[in-house]
Amino acid sequence: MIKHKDMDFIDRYLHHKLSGESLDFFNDRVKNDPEFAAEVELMTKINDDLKNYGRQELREKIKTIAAKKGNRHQRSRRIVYWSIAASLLVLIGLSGVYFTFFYKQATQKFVFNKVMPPFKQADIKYREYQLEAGKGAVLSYYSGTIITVPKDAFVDKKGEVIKGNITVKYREMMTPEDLFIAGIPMTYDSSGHVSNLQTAGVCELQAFKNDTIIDVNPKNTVNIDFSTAIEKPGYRLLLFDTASKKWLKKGQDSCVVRLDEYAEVKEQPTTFVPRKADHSKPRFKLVYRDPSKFPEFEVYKNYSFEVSDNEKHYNPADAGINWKSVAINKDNFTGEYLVTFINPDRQVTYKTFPVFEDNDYLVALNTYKQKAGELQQKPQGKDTIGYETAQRIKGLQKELLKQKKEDFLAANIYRTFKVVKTGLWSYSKISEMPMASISVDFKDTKGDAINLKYVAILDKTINSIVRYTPEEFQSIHFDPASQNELVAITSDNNFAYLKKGDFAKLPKSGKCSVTLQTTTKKPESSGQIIALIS
Amino acid sequence: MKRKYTSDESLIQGILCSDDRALEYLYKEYAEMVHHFVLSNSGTKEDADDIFQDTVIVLYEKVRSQEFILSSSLKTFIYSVSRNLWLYKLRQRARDHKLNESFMLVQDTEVDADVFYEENYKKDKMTEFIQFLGESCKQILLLFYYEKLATKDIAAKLNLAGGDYVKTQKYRCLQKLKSLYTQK
Repeated sequence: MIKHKDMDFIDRYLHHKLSGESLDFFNDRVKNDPEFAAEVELMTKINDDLKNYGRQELREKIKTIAAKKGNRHQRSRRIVYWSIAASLLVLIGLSGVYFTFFYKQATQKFVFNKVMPPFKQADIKYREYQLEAGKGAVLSYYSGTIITVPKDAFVDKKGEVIKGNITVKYREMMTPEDLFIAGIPMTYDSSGHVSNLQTAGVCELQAFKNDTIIDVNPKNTVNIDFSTAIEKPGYRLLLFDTASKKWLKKGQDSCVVRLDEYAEVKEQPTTFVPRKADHSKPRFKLVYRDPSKFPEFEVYKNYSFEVSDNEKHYNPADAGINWKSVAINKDNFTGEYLVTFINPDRQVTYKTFPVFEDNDYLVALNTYKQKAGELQQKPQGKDTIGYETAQRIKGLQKELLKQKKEDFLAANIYRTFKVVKTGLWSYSKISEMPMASISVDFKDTKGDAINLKYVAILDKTINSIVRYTPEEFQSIHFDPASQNELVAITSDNNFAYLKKGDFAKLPKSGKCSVTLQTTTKKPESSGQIIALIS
Repeated sequence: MKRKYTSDESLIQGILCSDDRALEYLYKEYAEMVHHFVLSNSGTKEDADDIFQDTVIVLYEKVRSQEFILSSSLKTFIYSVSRNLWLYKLRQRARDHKLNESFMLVQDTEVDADVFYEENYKKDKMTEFIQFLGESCKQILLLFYYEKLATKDIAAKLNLAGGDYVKTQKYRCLQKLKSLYTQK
């Protein structure tokens, strides 16, 4: 049973009253104390449920107040209903054909709920990797993304672990142009509420054994250190579920790591526990001036070398000789320092160990305690998970650079996640519908009406794509403050686009006519499309 | 209405003290404005009711978050929040309703509507447990975890012996609730 003190600690966390060191300490406990972590998980759930209950109670109170206040709002509702009814009657009277037309269009509505590249030949290419499933591999993508495939990471349809050679295919869609070219669905359906998504990046991982699709072994998942240009947090990890044709939430954006914020751990010099001098034993005062050879001496001052009890051949007469030079070596097995006194005609070596006298011993002991404490502390300024992730990625980067993997780029900002299933993954968030809205008639360069399958607004500022079908052309939304492009697919599957720079000239409201350029033949590469619009 | 709120600050104080009269005052003063706005922008009476309720919830939670600074009048705040929430709902629906011009002119607020709705529509498992706890436990837990009142303030509100007593009661109630969760 959890203690009162711990309960208070968790309450402060739930009330967002922890910060800085106390929050670090809390997170450390969650990480290292499973019982505490389980309690936090349960309390978070209870807290959330209480919040929902509290909201529901508040609603009920408002409903009660509303019921008491009578039917004042019902009167205004009647007026509005009559206005709407009157307007509808006028509209129906004037535009019966118009409504029939829209109904017909609506039944044929084009729904973008699966990956639908408009031009297969121009689709974003996968990078292919051949590997042995039983061994695993570390794979790199052009962007700097690192895919760590552990051994036995894939299973067949029956759930049997795959062995032998397999092919892994991977690609990334990082810009609105990429999303358009690859035909990535970018809406999020939450209980029937459909919203547009803006993204910090989409990637796709597929795996094959002899051209048959295989899936990730849930017991041995693939890790992706996803290189991203968008550092801002708040994006959620989503997986596109091909069965329900929806993006599903798979996790929070908890770990955006900027590698340059985490300094590499400088290897700490190994110190030794100070030992007090025994005044009955002979010792030498030596200062070793090459710290690179014995870094353990770096932190200490005023040490001397006491002859070891293991030294059976010590000759006290040697203390009276004027030696020309001295050399020190370490016996790594016993830990003793072998001090060699050298003269042209003779040299002698004694087994010793460093010692400190009286006050120097106390100073050295404090130095040691401090050093040992520092070694136990986690790196300053950043959370441990981020730090460890950064160190791991840096290690992988070093390894990949050492192997001279072609095209590997050591990126700086990463989001890390576990791939539990092959398919499309993304870090995305729901995007607000932009305020500017125009009703558009699309025409070709001859001024004739152009039949379109859909139009897409590419917002390069927030990294989003919003597609509009013809029945939605009277309300196309965009953010005038963003850098936008407009592209379209004609009803005969050709590419149409608004000329570079023309988007900025569009009005921010009302009706307008937009002239689209069309290509004479279908684009054959993604580069062709990007060159036309960007 | 027994009490008149003479300023936005006193109304916010009423919300912080969980004074039900503050809720009645909010309804009296602002419900019509929110209804009018929603009804004028393709909404129904039910939509307007929902948006007003959601707006009040957002306001209450903002005020209790202790980070709340009212940089405009409460009326502007309520208008902006309700507009933002309605915008979110509209976005989910067919886009063939042309929006009222005035709709475009209001400054945006920082209400994260998608997060709000997502949390709001979670399955309410608590309802089935709360009845086992009894009224006293329910009140203490809601006042502490949802309304974020300090234990001494809960004691004052519920006329209990003091903060320490509330703390002990809260602990017992939680143990009871946790056992319900783990038995589930």
